[in-house]
Amino acid sequence: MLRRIGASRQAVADRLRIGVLRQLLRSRLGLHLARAVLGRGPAPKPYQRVAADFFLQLAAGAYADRRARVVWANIFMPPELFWGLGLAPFFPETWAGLGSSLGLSRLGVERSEALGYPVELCTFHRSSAGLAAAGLYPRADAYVATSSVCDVAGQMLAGYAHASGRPFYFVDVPQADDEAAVDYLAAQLRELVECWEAQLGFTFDPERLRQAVHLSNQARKLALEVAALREAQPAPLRGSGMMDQLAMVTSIFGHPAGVAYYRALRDYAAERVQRAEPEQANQRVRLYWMHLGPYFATELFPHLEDDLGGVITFEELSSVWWDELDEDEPLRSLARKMVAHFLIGPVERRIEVALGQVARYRCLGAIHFSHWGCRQSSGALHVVRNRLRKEGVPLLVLDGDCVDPDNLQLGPLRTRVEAFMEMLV
Amino acid sequence: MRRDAPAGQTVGLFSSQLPRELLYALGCIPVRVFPSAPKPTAAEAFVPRNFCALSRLILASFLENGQAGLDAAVFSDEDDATRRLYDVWRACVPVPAWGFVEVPRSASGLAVGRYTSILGQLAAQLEGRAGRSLSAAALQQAIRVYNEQRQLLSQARQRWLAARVDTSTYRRLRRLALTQDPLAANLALREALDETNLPGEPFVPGPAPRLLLLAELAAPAGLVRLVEERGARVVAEDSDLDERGSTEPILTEIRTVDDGLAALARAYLSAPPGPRMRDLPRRLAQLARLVAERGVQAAICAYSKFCDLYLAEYPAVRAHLEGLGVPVLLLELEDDAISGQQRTRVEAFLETVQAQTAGAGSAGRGGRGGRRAETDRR
Amino acid sequence: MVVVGMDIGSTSGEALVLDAESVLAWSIVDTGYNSRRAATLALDQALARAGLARDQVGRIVATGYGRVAVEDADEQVTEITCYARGIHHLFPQVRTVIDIGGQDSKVVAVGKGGRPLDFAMNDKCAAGTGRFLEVIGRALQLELDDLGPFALKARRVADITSTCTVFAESEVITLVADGVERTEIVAGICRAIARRVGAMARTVGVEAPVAFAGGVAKNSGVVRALEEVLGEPLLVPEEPQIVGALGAALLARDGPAPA
Repeated sequence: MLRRIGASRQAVADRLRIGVLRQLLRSRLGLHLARAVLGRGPAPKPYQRVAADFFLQLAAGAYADRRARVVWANIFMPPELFWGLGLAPFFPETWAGLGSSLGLSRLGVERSEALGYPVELCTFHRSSAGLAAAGLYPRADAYVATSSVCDVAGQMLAGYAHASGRPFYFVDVPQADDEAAVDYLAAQLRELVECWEAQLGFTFDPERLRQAVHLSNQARKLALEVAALREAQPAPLRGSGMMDQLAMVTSIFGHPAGVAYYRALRDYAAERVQRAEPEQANQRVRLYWMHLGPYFATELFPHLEDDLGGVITFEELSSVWWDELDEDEPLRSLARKMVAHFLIGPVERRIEVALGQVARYRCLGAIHFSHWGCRQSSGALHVVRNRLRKEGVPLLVLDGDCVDPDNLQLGPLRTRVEAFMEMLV
Repeated sequence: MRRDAPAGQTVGLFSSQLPRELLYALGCIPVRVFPSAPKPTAAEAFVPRNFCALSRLILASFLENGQAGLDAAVFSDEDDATRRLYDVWRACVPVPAWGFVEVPRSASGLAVGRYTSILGQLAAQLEGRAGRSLSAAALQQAIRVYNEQRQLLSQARQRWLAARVDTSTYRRLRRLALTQDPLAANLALREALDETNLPGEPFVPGPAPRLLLLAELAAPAGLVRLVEERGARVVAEDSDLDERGSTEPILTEIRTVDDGLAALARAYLSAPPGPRMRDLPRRLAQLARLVAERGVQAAICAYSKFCDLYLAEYPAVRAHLEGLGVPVLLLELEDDAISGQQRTRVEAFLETVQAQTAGAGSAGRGGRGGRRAETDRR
Repeated sequence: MVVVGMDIGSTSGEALVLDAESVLAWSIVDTGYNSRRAATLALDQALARAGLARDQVGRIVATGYGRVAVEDADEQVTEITCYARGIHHLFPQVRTVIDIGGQDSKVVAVGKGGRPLDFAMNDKCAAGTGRFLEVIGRALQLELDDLGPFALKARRVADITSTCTVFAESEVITLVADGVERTEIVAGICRAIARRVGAMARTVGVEAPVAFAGGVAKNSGVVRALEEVLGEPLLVPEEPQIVGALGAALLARDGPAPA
């Protein structure tokens, strides 16, 4: 009887929490409140303030602005396109990560199971499905996904579109990166823009897109400076703090905040180097981090970084992988950007990038965090590991989960990390 | 027109969307790769355990059995698992990979144009390996051979639906068509159809619950046997073995190689879609058509464990089928064996379906029975 | 100087006493639910057998999952490093060591001086560990120590299809009901473990000579099955369960091997 009361109290508390969150997200007042609350936390670094502001703006656009044209997309759609078309993008995968850092992943994952999503699927997508079903995601006026890198993203977005009756466009990204491939992809982007004009009721403004590309190029230059600064010894930045770079890389380019963000990050990193004041005091072994890491709080990084002195000097997914965009041919150069990603095509592309970065950042070893359900990143690790080993780079593979803390066993991970560090020191 | 038995190389394929006609026209024998290993354990040294079970099983088959009758393999970007299988295969399987083909995920004019160009590149690549050039005449002849096969398989399906051919024979014939030299396969098909040469009858549903099976490559033979032993009747299979492996006959006169490649591109991209096309409306419409035409009363999704495209699509497929009054059971399979637990679930599912169909007399809202069986899966 | 190495695992705990020249004594205890108490018991027993008092011990290095529970430890080192070091001391020529314990299994590539070069661990799934044998032994009403000789008597090997230990137990019961000989079932379990561990070994790369340690190395059925799967003869220490503690003691005495 008491247990039933307890359980129903919990259910009521959960419903209240979700209800409050929904209201906050959908109201401008709520977002201002969030900004105020964030401002009271431990003093954020300047670039973190820019990032937080940007995400609040993004949230305002997607949740609270009734006039906004909200498009749900996977993270491999070029953000320049959304900013250049005046749309409000929403990236379910990114928000699943954010949800995880806010302790919402259990809610998301449990709801997704009730919807029938098997537990073998990636938790970025499962959690998204659950959070969407809980009403914590905004409305969508359209959906778009690319075929690149991750299978499940397109499948999920197609499913959401079908359920909502809203339009869905699937961008078929070629495996090659020659001119014919770029032509094919650019033609699809043109078609997509035309579809959206008709479906979402706006007129394409080429100058606006050009401006987004211009901003992207400016941010790119600054991001490259950050990458260069991170070569310094000692490493100026703590790698665990950079795990959210993928979220920035896939959303902020093309927006004015992108330039502000990377400028602030560049200045911050430069100051750390100039003053020889690295964020991480204990630096015994330089490491390269492959794929992603947990978005929720975990002892894994403090143990690796502070206790064991392993410093993550650079992360695979923080890379700026594309050449400067051509402002005179924005769609074509965005297509070129899309096909250039090293996670497309055979695994050799990824390995060459990894070897290059290990050498550039003078790393003694690499760590791959194998997120549960991510076949594209973990499937060919045998090949990655052998090739890295051949080049004298030991690789540690950690099995875990970026989103669901219940799916990460810290004890075994600590042992592996310790053993790896014992090997390298 | 007879053709001398080619001394061609046997080339393994992993997709129903790679035109076999192209390889055949180059003198190769294209065969769909079916796993032969009973368990995927041998693959665990090379790919993670939480990786598409079908890909693992295929890899294990080649690790255990060496060449296994293949001279080469051609891969395509079917899904993440096949992409990674291509990477790992090159590192540890002695069968050479002749290429990795990008197959578009749409049947739009743009995609057909792209695929035509890709098939041209594939042809150029394969000409060197096969030791001959691709001609329009050879392509035309190959299309004729496979068109004949399509017609024969269509007749075989009619016979099966009319219960003149049992399910296991029908599936054996379809598998033969995918895994043999097409001339030999067509001969075997003609012989099998001659043996059952009775006047065609329209499909008349009998009293046994009528099942739709959904699978990636093919539903396990053990599952088909099990359901039919328990008194159900398989009337449709949405898989590469059956419905998705069927294009309409390619009716075209080939004047140039490009004509032929364009016709192939169009036909293969327009075939009944699998989840990789992300065209949910068309896919669900295809399933609805099967439900209506064949009087489907229940469905079993027999998917490979960790096969993301199918698993991510599952909630939409289930909702759609249940909306049509068709209860659904999901099985996630590590290999072709049906374990004791899975057997129990299948039997329980069939019992509820049989009770409903016996009670209702027609396909009613069987969602509950399916759902109850569904929640047992954990 | 007298040193002690301790390996406190989830099922058993070992302590080994070493002086400048040789191993003086060791002990093996059940861990139970209290790693701390197991550590104290193991240490006391080993010291008693060596005829030494606690204050005669110079350094203690602890390893195993329970290493943090060893209050007297001067240093904690992972079992990867300790196993490599320990096996190198026993068989200096060994290049790969496989350890199958009660609840986990690991493979370590061993380099010069007993330094680990690479490793793989399975500590998520009972299949491929001693627990698998324990569960099946219980289902067949056989003692753990009898399983090895039983397996060696089998004329055929039953195919155990379940990948999960829990479901394998149901499968075994079904096989018994179908009249399959217990010897064949046990041989099948040994082969299932060997296959799982063999696959893990290949991710690290199996370079001969290969050693096999841990409690399950006492099972002659698994030894034979693993030799068949790997295609290599296995070197098995006289007391395979103390390799981790030996490695820890060597580290306590000599420090890490130079890179």
